[in-house]
Amino acid sequence: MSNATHIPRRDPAVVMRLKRLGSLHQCRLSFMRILTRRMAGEGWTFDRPVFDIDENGVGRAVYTASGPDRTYSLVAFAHDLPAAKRSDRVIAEAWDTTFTLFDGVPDEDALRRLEQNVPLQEAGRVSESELSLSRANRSVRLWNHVVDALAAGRQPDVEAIRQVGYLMRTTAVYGSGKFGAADRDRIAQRPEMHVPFQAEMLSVYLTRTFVRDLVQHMANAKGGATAARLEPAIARQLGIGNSTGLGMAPYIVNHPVLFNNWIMVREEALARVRSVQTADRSQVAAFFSVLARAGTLVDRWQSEHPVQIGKLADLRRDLASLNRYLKDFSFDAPYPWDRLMTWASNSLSEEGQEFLASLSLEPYGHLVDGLATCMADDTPSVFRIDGQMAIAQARALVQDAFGWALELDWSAPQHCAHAWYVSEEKLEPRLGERFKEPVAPYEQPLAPARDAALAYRDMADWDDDATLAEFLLRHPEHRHTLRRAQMNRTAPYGEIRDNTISADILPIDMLRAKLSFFGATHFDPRSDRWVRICMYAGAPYPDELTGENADLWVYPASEA
Amino acid sequence: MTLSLNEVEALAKKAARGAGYSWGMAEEAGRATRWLCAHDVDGVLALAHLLKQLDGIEFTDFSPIIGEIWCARGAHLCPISAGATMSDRAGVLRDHPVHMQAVLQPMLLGAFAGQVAMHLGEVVTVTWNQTVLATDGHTLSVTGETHQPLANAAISVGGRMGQCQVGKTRADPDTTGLEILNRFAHRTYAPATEESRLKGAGAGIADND
Repeated sequence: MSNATHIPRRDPAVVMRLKRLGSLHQCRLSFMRILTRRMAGEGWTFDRPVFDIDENGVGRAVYTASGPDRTYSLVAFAHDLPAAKRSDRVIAEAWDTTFTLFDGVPDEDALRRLEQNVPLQEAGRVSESELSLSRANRSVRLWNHVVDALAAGRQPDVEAIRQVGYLMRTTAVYGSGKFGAADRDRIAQRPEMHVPFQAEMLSVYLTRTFVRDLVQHMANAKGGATAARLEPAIARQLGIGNSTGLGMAPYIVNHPVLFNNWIMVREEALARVRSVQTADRSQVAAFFSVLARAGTLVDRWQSEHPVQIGKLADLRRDLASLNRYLKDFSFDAPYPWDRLMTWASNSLSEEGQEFLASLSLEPYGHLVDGLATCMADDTPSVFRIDGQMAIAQARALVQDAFGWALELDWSAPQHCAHAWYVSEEKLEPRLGERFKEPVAPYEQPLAPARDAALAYRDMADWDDDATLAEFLLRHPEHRHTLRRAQMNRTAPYGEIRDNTISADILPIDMLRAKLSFFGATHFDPRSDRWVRICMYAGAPYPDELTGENADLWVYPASEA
Repeated sequence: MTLSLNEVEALAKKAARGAGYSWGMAEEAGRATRWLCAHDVDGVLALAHLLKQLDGIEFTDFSPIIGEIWCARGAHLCPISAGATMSDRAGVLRDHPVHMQAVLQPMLLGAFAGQVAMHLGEVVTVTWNQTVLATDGHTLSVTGETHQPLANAAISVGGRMGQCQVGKTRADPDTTGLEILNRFAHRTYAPATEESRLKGAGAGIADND
């Protein structure tokens, strides 16, 4: 990452607070947008070689996506699921549809093998030929409405579509070697898969197309010759929902270097834009255009959760403040974006600040988009601990990331009220009450701040010159923490600077941080620990994808 | 049925944790097992035997005491603990070889030798009985028997790579080893209760609408 900026990246102590991470918004560097830009730029082609679904909506389909070097296929299985079995929870055992992303084009033998395994999801096995495993359930309210309307020869109600946003929501998209799928290493060096989560994002992109086709198929089956064809403009508004629970929250703690790279790249992008001395008129116009369109996105964002209702109120107030401020703002004076961000940091909530940060990148694709190649974690060698490091330096590293945590009374119930554990049932990560449930013996290492404070305390009596190797021989219980501390040297944004086991922890903040990098919108928490989102709403379908619409689709056409 | 290397690493880490290793040491066990499987050696079986042999023994009894010859306070030395300690002190291997006494499953040392070799940018050789492992961190050559329950081992910088093991992107471990690791891994899972089922995962507003 070059540093052609004079405005530095923001301090990790500011960026890595949970409240801010829980206020992140999608941006140019979101994984979905990186994928659609690439596919359009490289002229990917798409096909549907198999669509073998009966009038009850049961069967299989294959959708292919071909880039310059390789073809990937979404293999979809559609099922007739009794309503009582439909659940977003990971403990579900059946789904409306199940999917895998196949590396290449599957032949009949492969399809037969997948048919016996993919519908079982976690209870089945896939192979090195598969890059992801996922499933989706219908949004019952919208699915029935759309099928009924089209079958009756009418278009569905646009307002109903806006209310829900999707016909199906995925409830898990597994990749990276899960349940037998290919390891990340197998695809990481392919240009189209080097950016994180591109296989998963491609699978969801094709899933959305399948769902559009399936709802049309069902409407045709029901309505016969008089069924209407879903208008492309309405279809485009449909995204794919996603329902994400606690399982995702540990990910950003368990992958500190990877998470650092995402955050650092966005911070670098922001620093580059803030360092732009003079914004030309077309750039300013581009900003105002996406600002208006993003306003529509915010207007349509709904949630029933009290926390998100409050955050949305903040965001709408911030947006009004921003628009007022911009009326008299001079883009002609030097460093307009830096001045704007500085104003925002003093005047807006985290929601508004991060919203503006993301939008300010939009006019500067030439400064920002190339950073996408820095978002993967290509550094397996950081695993090894440098045991020759002096204790004084190890202490300083811990102090740097967790100075705020060292004085906290970590035995006080409010600071360690929770414990992360994995349940025997479905091996699902959960968050338990340390003082009310017998979960402490099973605690996962997901409280880096507490563990850093404990390590720091044990290092206190050691000579400055003693080596980390000597310390770790005596204290193997701190090995995990000190490995992380050393990673922090090159990954300054790798650690969340908040307490992940406090009484008032909101795991949805961790979920949003990750999902914002996917490019998700419409965060709608359903409790403090699971959230629904929307993906690809507004995106062109494969047959519509062009260089013109590949990027800004996330912003609805302005209603002004 | 083959496993992804990611699955092997995750299982090995959980199993080592279930056997009582610290999280950081369990991570070493996971990496080492993955590394061996990626070099066509059944690391799963080696780790499984190790965990069975050390089950119930205090960590301090099988971790190394550093001296002219590294040995354990108890009867046997653990290759994960000794290997990680060797990796932490990779630089000293340049000055002199490390001799270890009574190491269980010495094959597991191979993975740590790989880590050291990668760091030093040199070939590292591990020998016990008639077996010689040589690795530059990227590849591994083996002459002699890989599955050895117990031996005195020597690790040194230098040596010549022999015929390299075939690199693997999948693991195909013996099912006995897998079963044993799964049993140890199971100890890390909290028994499900109705309360955890509902609250722990955060069921809230209806999820079927």
